[in-house]
Amino acid sequence: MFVFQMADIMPALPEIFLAAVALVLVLVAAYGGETAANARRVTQLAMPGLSLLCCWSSTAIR
Amino acid sequence: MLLVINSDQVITSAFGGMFSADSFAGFMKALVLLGTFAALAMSIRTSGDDDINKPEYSLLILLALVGMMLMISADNLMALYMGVELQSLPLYVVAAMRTSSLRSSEAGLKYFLLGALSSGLLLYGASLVYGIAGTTDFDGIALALAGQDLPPVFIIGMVFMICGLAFKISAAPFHMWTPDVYEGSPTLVTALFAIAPKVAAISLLMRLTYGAFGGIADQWQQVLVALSVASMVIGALGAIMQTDIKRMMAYSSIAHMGYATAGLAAGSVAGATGVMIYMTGYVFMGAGTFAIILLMRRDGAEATKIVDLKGLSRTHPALAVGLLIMMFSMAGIPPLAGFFGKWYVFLAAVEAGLVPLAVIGVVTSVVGAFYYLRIIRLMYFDDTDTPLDAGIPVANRMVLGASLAVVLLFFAGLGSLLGAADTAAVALIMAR
Repeated sequence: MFVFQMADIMPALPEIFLAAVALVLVLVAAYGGETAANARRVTQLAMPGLSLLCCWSSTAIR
Repeated sequence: MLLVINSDQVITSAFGGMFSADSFAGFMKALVLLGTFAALAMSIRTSGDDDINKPEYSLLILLALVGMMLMISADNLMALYMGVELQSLPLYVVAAMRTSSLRSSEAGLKYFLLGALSSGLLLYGASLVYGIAGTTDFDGIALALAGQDLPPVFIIGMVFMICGLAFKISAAPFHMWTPDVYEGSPTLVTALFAIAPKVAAISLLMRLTYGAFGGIADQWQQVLVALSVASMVIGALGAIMQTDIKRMMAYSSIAHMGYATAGLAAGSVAGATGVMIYMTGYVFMGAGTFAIILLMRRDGAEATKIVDLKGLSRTHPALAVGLLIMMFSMAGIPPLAGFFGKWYVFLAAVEAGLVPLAVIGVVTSVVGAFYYLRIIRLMYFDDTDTPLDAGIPVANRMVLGASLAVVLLFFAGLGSLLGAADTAAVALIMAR
């Protein structure tokens, strides 16, 4: 029987965070329209997420 | 690169051991994230390619990035396959994103068909490995193989898996999709293909060979040596004949993967360290070179023939200097990043007794220098009447500046980088 433990997903939090950012941006993309301005907006919103992830993943480097 | 020291009490395994977040994963993920960040940053522009200026472009890249990160952390055959598919499916779509171009559609279709073939090979190999080992866990596979006579079916499965991943890193003889996909895809997509997925795929190959198959290095070493030699030779010779810079970069990447595989074939901590150093330089060289290739436009249209670079030193002197440094680094001229990457992989190969492999690597590097120097000759010694468009977007300027700084000052941070890579390599190999 599988037992869910928070500790079992903690090391994968950066990936979970990235997937969540992508899902939120799906909404931005869908409701913002098929325009170049919206494309820029989606990319610009993704950039801080990527920067944060880069720092976060680097914490595993020793 | 940002280095943050954690406490020792860190849990590095998730999802019941299917996912590993050790320092190796951290190192390679940082590279993949930097490469993807650079490629995405260069896609922000106020005008230009309408086919790429679509909201779904960034989303597909982010989803592919989740797959790449999963590939790097995969410690189980199931996680491995999930990561590979999650990375590949969005990339097939972005390769064909320029819907008005037949070449882009062709690139997407070719990438999809050959990617599906490689996934099939990988899956079939994984099923054979699982059939013999009785587990999908990398540690479990390594344990099951310890001190046993390996049945031929297992060897076949292992070779299939390595060949499946060789498709993903575009190592010869599984490289045939690369030039067409690089040329046909929108240049922004090519820039991403040239950087991030290669790092993810080679990380997965390292996890598989050093992890699951770590105890049988003598069995996979010869496969990697063959892949390395074929990639170095085909990459170097193929690039000489190209007239399009994107196709040339495709062959160049095949050769680069050959050099990286030479370090991997060493099967040692030094080899893994060498590959990580190599891939660090490769990411920045790729990002810097494509920051310039993306600016090769004439009257708003892409101009990606190598001859379009004629006279660049007179029309765009700063770009010419930038490309000169990147080409020198790719050719392996000291003291640039490319030199140190090659140095450490060849050193590891020599220490592992693979002297002929290192010699072939050095010879193909010399051959490779020909096509890099040809670009420099065109930029500095030829004239043009039709210069490329003026103006450098801020994002390209920043990516190029950062890449140049890393490539030029690589030697200054080499000590820290070697320390981090060595610790990551030990985490990859010794943790088993």
